[in-house]
Amino acid sequence: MKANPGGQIDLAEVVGRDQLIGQIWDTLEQQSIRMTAERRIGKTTIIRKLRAEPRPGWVPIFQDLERYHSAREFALSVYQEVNRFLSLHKRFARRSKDFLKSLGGIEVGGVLKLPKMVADTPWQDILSLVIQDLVEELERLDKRPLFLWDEVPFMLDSIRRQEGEPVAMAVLDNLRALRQTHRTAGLRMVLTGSIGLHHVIAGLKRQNYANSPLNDTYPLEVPSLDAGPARELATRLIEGERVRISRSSDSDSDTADAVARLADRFPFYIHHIVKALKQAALTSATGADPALVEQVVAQQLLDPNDPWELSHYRERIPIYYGSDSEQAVLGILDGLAARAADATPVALSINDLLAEGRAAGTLDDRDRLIDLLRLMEQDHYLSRDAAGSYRFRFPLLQRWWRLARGL
Amino acid sequence: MKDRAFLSVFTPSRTAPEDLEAITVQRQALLADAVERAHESATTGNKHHLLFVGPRGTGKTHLVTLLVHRLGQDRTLDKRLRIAWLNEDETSTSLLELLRRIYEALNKRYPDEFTPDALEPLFDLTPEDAENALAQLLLKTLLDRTLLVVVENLDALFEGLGQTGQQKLRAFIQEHPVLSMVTTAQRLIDDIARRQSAFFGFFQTEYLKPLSLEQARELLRNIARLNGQSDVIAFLDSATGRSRIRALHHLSGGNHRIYIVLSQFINRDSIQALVEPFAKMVDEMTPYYQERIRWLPAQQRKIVEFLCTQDRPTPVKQIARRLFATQQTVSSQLKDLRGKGYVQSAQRGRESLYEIAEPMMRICVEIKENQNQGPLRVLVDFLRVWYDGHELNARLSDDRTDRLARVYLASAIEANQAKGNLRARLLVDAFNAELDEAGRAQWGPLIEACAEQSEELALACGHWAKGEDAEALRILDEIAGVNSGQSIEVKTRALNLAGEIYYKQGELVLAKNALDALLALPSVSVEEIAGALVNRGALYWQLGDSNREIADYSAVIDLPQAPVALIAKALINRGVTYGQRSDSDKEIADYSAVIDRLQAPITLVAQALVNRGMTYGQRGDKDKAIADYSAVIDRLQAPVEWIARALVTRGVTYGQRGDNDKAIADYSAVIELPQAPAEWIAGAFVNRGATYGQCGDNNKAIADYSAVIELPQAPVEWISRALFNRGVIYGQHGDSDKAILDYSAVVELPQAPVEGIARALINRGRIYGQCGDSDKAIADYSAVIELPQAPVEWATRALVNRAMTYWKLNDLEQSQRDLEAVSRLIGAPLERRVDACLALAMLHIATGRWDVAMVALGDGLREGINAAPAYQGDSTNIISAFFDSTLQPAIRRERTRSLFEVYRDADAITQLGEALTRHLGRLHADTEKLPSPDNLETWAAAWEEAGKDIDAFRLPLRLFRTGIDFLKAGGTDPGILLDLNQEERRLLEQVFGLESSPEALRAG
Repeated sequence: MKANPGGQIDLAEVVGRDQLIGQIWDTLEQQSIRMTAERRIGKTTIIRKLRAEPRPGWVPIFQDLERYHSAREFALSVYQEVNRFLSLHKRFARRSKDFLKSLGGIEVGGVLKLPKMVADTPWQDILSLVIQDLVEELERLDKRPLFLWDEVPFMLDSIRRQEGEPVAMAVLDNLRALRQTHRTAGLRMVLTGSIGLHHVIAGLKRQNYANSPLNDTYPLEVPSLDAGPARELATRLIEGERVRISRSSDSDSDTADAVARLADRFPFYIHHIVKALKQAALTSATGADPALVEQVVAQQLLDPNDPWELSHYRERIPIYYGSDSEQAVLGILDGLAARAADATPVALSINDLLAEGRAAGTLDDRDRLIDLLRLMEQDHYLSRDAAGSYRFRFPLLQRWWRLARGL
Repeated sequence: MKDRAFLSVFTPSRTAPEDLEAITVQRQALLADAVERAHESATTGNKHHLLFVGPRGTGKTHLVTLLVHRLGQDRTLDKRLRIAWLNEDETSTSLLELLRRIYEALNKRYPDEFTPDALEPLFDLTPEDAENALAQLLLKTLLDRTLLVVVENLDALFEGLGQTGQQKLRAFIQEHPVLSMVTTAQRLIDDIARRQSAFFGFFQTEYLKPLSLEQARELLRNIARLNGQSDVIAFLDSATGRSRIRALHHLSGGNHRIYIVLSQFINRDSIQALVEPFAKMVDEMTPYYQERIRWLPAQQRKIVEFLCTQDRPTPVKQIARRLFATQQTVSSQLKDLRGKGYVQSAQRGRESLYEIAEPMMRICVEIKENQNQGPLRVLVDFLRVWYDGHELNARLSDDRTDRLARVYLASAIEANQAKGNLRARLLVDAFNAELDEAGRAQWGPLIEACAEQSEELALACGHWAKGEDAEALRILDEIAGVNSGQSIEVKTRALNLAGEIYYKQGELVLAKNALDALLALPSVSVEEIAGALVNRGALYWQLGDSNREIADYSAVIDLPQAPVALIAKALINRGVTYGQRSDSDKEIADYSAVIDRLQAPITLVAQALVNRGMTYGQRGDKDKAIADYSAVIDRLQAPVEWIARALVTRGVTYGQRGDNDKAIADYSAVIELPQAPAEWIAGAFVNRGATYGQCGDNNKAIADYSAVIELPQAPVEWISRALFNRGVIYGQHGDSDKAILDYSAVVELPQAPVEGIARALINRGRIYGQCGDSDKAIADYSAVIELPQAPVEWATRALVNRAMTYWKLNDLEQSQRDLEAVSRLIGAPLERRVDACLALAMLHIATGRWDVAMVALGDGLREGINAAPAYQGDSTNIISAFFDSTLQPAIRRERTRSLFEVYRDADAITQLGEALTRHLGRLHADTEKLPSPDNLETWAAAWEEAGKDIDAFRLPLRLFRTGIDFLKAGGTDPGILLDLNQEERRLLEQVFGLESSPEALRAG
């Protein structure tokens, strides 16, 4: 298996996600899921695995929603996917098809040529009917529908910009209503995206949106890999890339260990490190060993091309938290990073952070600080320890932050 | 010669892939890796997406062509992979269009599978439906195979697709993981680099680096090999070829495409073949670069445009000045531009210099600004670099040269006349860029001087400067070769340089061989011959062949019209060698020739005077020596270094004459001499300190030594001496701690002379011994014995001292081993060897091995007496050991006789007598424990019997007998000494430490 940062991974070679996937199927028995994860942690791979290897009784339908920019496009795409699926089982979406015909769709040889979409096309009805068709048809087959919708926030953002906030709110409300309506019939959704859904909701709330359209879903956080699987992935990639390993004893497992550890067990970074390690080992005197891994990681963190695209963590701050909170967030992260002498994160209490914010003049409101910390936790900057203190969630990010901010 | 391969300058995909394979350099590993990844994409569920980023002309299409070729050749992929290589000139503004282009590309490559007919019905659908239908058609036709989409100019594709199109494409790839992409881009656009973008983090990005100099040469060689042009390959491998490519590399900046153009020019030796493709290349690239510059903010655009007009790296200060901006502003903009890849920087000392990162950008801007469509400056520069002046003229006057070529040739000739030798300048610039500041300061002038004479010489110097001696020597050897076509001057210089490199490597014979070759060249100038002879003479000196050495110097001295300075050097060197042969008359004659007869440079006259002065001094003619030194000091306008040297040596001479005041005055003059070299100031301080010490002014001595220790830039050997001398004074005054500190400082001084370290260790060991710390003493002596390259004199001393210390510890075995080691030590000083033999004899006597003792003693005494001057050491310890060894009168008599015989046979009766007398003193030293009168009497009788027949022993015996009588009487009655005459009596009074006064006598 070769390192493949950014590409699609052969599902047979996905490492260390079986337990999480089992947990997802267990949860889906009860409720739908909103999946949050830092980008590049491997959530799309998990979704693809759910789609390719469903538990008995489930029928997954996968859609990457970032391509849809209006509620109408979304509703029609759902119709097309459902219809494609049902036709494979010699069934069809009767109600929705009739409805589309009533809107001007023409059926030629059993294929419905979709009606021309206009501004007032009742997308809610299309969505509602097609899901009803699906649920009913699957009930006959004793199956349960599962929508795997990736990049939901992207679509909502596009809809918000193209059709306005009310339409985006309506999409969320409609989806919630559909989940409620068909809950007992087994309809489930897995909603995910690389931007936290909480940002979309927060944006809409600023426009007087009072609902909680996701409170019926289970918030599932995709963690980085456990130590064992991370090491296994690194080992497999090192073998697949035929990385020249140093002859010193145990360097094989030591090297894989170092890769996994320094990548914070992120599959994406593990792939990146092994790829860079391959080149570095060719030119090094001894071949790959933990010291060379450390060197490669340091080079990647300092590389002006930012191959791991970590500068995004800095650049998105004003977008995520608004320009008025930018200095406060920077102050929090700088304060934590500056205190850490090595990769081990240092934790600070809310009181400490407040005192520091006051001293720096960036923040003097405890409630605002608590709000910010909660959001930063949701955005994977921070995590809390047992004492309630905050620290960097990922040591790698902390290390980069120190370097990038010259702390 | 085979038919020339067709190498497309602009569309490598039109070049036969086999030919591309043959000329590929630098990217073999990258290519193999990309093929492996594409292979894995085709055969597993892993789908790799690759992106190669590099400016125009860096070989992206070349790489992709080979990738597709190799995948196409792999029969195992026939049923697993379908390749759609998109036409780079078409654009797509929607996913639908992109899918159509993919289908059409597949149709071209696999017409039977992806038929045009299948596409027809889709044109009747709405775009949305057509997109869906086409996606389904593609997926259906692909079956379970992987689709490899090759996209050149991904930046243009993404720009066309816009955000919506990109999102749709990404969603398509995510939903249908059958697609793998191999793409290229001229730069990393925001659509890929920004995290918000759909394709962020999606591609495995590789940045294509420009060709290095060596890779560029390899590319040109590969092309020549492909064309079967062995003559071109040979030229590229020659020093001339290498130096020209090195200079051209500076102009091309490692751009692949420029080298392909250049290869056509080199292969055909046709200016037409350079100008036309180059002009076309520039035409094609100009809009691209213009647009890149247009994207920039105004301030940055101005900086880039300014740098485009500069043909070498420019300091920030100069940029700021020319743009009426502050340095701070320009610096920060340049930093940003560097991040964007527009400029690159180099450091010269504290100064940052900037230049345009891609030479093509500079060229294109130049074209834009050059409205009158004159010849392209860069091509004119190429010609100036490629051809020598006479070649340019020959081509211009050749009737077959066409009009275009004439324009360029004329421009090149004109530019050469106006601006000088461009190739030389580029070579110098290129090496300067590769060297650090110190390297530039050290080597820059040499490389520059060589570049003016010959590019190959400059190349060799550049390699030498970079520490690549082997390459430098290879080039120099080539230059000096019979068929190199180089002038005698260049060959001479090359051999001189080779000699110097070998010399610095310590390869003296090879250095001499280089000079032999130089001297064998025909028509070498007198000056060069003289220089080579002087240098070769110096090499012979180092090789220990003084006959040949003198012959070489004599040859210079006799060489008609040889430069005076070289004759003077030869005379001085010959004089030194005569001096080493102890032929001081000839030595002085040679120095005198420099002083009296030649109009030699002052420095050499000063050197001759100082050398002659030293020789006079060694001959004992101190007046003449002082006169010579004084001549340097007072009469000659000699450089300060020589005045300082003359003052110090004159001071030493005054000191030897006992005129310490004058000596001190001379040393003080050096210390106060403005700009005197630190080396001589330190020497003056140390010598003055020693003189103060002799005068008993230890405070001033210590102050002078301390001054050296603190003197900035004082040579380490002088610091070492100062520390040692100060340690000695401290030791003499019982301040063992300070003495040990100073000796330790010498031992730890980085690069201290070995002799200094050895001396310090021995003295420290002695102090440790005196303080009762025998272990540390032994450790110090052992350190000297094991010190690599320790002078044998000091190693011998250390052995003797260690032996004595072991003896004190009653470790007689170790002690004996050390003493025996001394006699085996090659080159050990005579005194130490004799001392060791005597000590060994004493050891044997003390341990009852009389016969062995006598052998050792005899050996020691004989060795000493046969040396000149003779040295037979001090036998007092032997006598003491013997006295203590037995009280038996018979044995004592017997042994006294044999001991006496050993001294007699070794002609050392005097030493024996002195030892017996001194032994009396030792017996007397402890009056409480005086031996019994009987013991003393048998002792005296034994010696009287042994020596009765030897006249030379009569006086010592008489002294001895009186001394014994004195001791027998209790050692207090000086009246007993009145048996002796006054002189003899004084000797014993001295030995017994008695006052020589009438009162004392009366007291008896």
